[in-house]
Amino acid sequence: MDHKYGRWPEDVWSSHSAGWRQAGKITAGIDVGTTSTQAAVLCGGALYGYANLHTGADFGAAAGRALDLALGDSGMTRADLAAVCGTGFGKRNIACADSTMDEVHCHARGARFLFGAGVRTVADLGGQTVKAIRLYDWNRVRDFMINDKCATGEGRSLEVLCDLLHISITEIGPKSLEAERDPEPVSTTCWAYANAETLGLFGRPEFKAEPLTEAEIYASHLFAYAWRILGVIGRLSPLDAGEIQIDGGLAFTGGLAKNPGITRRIERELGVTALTSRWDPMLAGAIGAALLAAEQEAGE
Amino acid sequence: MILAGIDMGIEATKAVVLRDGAIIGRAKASTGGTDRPIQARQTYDAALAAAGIAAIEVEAVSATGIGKYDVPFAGRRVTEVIAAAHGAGHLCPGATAVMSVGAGETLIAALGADRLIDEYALSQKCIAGVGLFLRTMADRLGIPLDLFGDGEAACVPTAVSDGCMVFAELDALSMLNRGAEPQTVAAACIRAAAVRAANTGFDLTVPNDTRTVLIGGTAKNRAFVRALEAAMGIAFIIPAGAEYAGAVGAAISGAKGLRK
Amino acid sequence: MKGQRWETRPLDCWQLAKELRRSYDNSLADSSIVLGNGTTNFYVDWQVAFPAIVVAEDNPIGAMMAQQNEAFARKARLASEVRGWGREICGYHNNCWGAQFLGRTADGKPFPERQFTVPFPCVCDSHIKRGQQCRDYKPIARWTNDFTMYIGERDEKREEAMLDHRNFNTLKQLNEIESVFGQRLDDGKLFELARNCRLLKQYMTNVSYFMTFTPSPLSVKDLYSFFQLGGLAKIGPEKAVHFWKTLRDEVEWRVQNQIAAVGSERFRWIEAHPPSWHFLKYYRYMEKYGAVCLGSQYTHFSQSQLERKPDGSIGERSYPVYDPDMELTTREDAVRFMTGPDARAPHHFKIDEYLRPYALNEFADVFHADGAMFGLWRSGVGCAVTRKEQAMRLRQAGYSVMCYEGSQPGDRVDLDEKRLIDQLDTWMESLGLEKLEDV
Repeated sequence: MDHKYGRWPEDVWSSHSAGWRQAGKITAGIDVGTTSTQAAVLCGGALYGYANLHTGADFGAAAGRALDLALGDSGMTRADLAAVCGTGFGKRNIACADSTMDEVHCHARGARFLFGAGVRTVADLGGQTVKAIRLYDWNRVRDFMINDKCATGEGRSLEVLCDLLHISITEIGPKSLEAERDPEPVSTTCWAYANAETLGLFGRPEFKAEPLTEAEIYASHLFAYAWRILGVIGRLSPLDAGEIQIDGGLAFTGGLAKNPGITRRIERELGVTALTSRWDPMLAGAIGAALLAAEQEAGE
Repeated sequence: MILAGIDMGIEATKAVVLRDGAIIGRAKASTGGTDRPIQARQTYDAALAAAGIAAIEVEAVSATGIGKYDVPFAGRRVTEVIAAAHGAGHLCPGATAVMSVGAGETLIAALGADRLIDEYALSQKCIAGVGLFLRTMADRLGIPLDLFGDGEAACVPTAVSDGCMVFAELDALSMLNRGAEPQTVAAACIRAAAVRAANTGFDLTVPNDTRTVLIGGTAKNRAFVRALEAAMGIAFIIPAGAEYAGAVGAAISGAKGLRK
Repeated sequence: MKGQRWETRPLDCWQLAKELRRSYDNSLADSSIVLGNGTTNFYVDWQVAFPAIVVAEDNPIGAMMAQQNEAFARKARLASEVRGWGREICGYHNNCWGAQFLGRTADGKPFPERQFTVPFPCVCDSHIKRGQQCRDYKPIARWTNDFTMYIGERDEKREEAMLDHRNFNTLKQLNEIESVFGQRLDDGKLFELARNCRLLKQYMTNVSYFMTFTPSPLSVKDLYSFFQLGGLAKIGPEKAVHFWKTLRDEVEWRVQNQIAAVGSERFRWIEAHPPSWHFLKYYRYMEKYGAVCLGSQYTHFSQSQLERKPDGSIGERSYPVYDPDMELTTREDAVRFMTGPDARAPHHFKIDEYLRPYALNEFADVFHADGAMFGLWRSGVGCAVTRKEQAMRLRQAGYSVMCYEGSQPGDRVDLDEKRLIDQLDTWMESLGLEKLEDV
């Protein structure tokens, strides 16, 4: 099976500014997820380098590689790091980490960095899990919700589906938004059902007057994702006569945050526009880990 | 008589050309989505080229698989159970049952004495995707699919869920997280997939028989076949080119439309 | 029609059915009545004897939502889910009470809140949750009926104790409803209702009996439009009785003249449960194969059951019934009469874990079925309990059985329509049946 469709592009950047030499504490965070791994290097609260990679079969190797790529050609080496904090599914495998921290706190802290003081609800749309986090005004987690097991693997399943359908994972979202109207979503119970149902939507179903267009098929699929995510956000958020209320800013992190086919549909149902960041939303966990490491170092 | 069959599964499209019952050409390609009609045509053309004949010489083209309606040039469509039954009966005369474990679907059928099918069972949703699971896990672990699970790697039977391929993937990742070797994880995945696929057989009322043919892409993996045999208590007959048996069966079913 | 073997014609009594349905649809919006939530016609029949009480049933409301406006039903289910009601709870309930949480019905009107609830527990597990979503929403009065059920041979002493329990429970309920809502139950109307219910069951049983003939004069698709009409008691039981008598007479005439529901009938199948209400078109699809569905015990149970007699004929199940002309002078007489002398009737087939796997064999025999089609429901899992065993028993008896999966008839989520059509094609093809129409 050709993986060029489902394999989203990796990304690496390191700053060429020499400002890190005067910045004080330099810390790094590494977030090893089931599907993707990120590392972020922060100096005095500013982002100096990052890497966003596919995790692969070796969690430890992915962590090390990400850290080295994040340091890149900035001039910094691992020795310059005052502390490295690890998080994510594979955090126990990060040999170079001085400490580890749970994903929720790291994402919350990282979301504040990425989206500013206005963010109150963070929806982390990852490879295997969907998490929703509510924040207080200050940097403290108020509440947290994770998907039930039968929604596991949503992000990962999209990689598989795109490979099967020969549609790039970066294109399927925008393409889905070309649909004039959203058909009924496919099954929202489990991605195995959703994928099977979507694969069957091509061709000439006997009972439909006209077959669905390509955009409508993708719309039906991504609508199902959005619907399931709404359930997680909804269980966490205040409710007013049945409608889910988002007080303050909503932000998406994780790989599916880059899929407008999902995020726009969630926004539409909630009647809000999500906050955006100049940085890659997949970095939230790693950035948060780095910031929390710096705060620990400073004795905060 | 020259017949052709296209089996368009969720992952792979298989095309075969038969002359008087013998396979003279075959081809395989990735199925795709909106480009299915093109893929079908290209795969068919490749099979024709391998057979060294032109399309005009083919008397009937029949399609099966999830993409059967995406093959515009097929004159006839048959469902996968019928195609599997024809394919098994043709490739292994004397077969009394056929089991197909593909990327998306598992099916099992008892072949009749005086009619094609006595009874059959299809995988339900929670047994879907056995083949696809093996494929994606093999890719993830960096092990070629035909070697996946091979060898003497120890397998803790309960390490990977055999109730659901989605949970199985998460369990496999957890095994990696705890430092398991890739082939150990592979062995656990193979076992889970085999148990899962075997569940399909529970719906049949006829007892297991020694003349059960195994077809479908997963038959290429030795470890999976061994595990499936253990789970079902059957020693399968596996024809050469088992992966193409569905397409063969579709081709043969096309003859039915030609008889006067 | 290719392959046509018999004459077909639409039913004359469709118009009558439509009028009755229309009058039901309007009745819930009346603010001068006390609106309650209930379960299944027979347990809340007494509502007609009160001057201003209507008990709306959650199940048909949820089913109608699924059939008429799936987008709204979906929103309703989400509203239910985010309040912690599991997705695996009966789709009917998540539809109906989700609308309560949204505060509106599909057409935007305010949701008519219930002022009391009278559920009863049912084997479809999540009906244990029946009545809870409205009870927890606002502090309303709640009563419950018990399911009188036991397994094994008939035990006279036990029957008596159970019937007493159920009947006294009902009487107590009626007394309390009177005092809570300040309305007096009219016992005369209750006697009339009791008589009408007896007649209704008789006519319904007759219609069931006529569907055992070949060709079947009705398909289950017709029956779905009618079988709730027996329970919409507020429209006036006399009207329901008149309708069923009219239907019964017409169906008898159709059998005498071999008028078929499906003119190409050559394959008869049974089911075990209502289908997904938003996808009834699969019955039309099966007509392309000359296949007709005769229904399920569910569609027939409310009309009593049929059984094969020792002499080979088919007739009404012989469980104990009271003399139809029995004199009714007290409220207790009427309640006992309506309950009947068999504590477990008519739910044997649904509840008894030992009986249930075999119950469909008799059903298939009586209706001269060739095969059976079962939905395996993920929500309302009690509906799927023993379904695979039933399939196995039927296969062992030589019937061809097909299973498919879905969430629940009111919940579209897991029903893969394309796959169901593919499975129907596979089923028919495996039996050597090709489509009679050109594709």
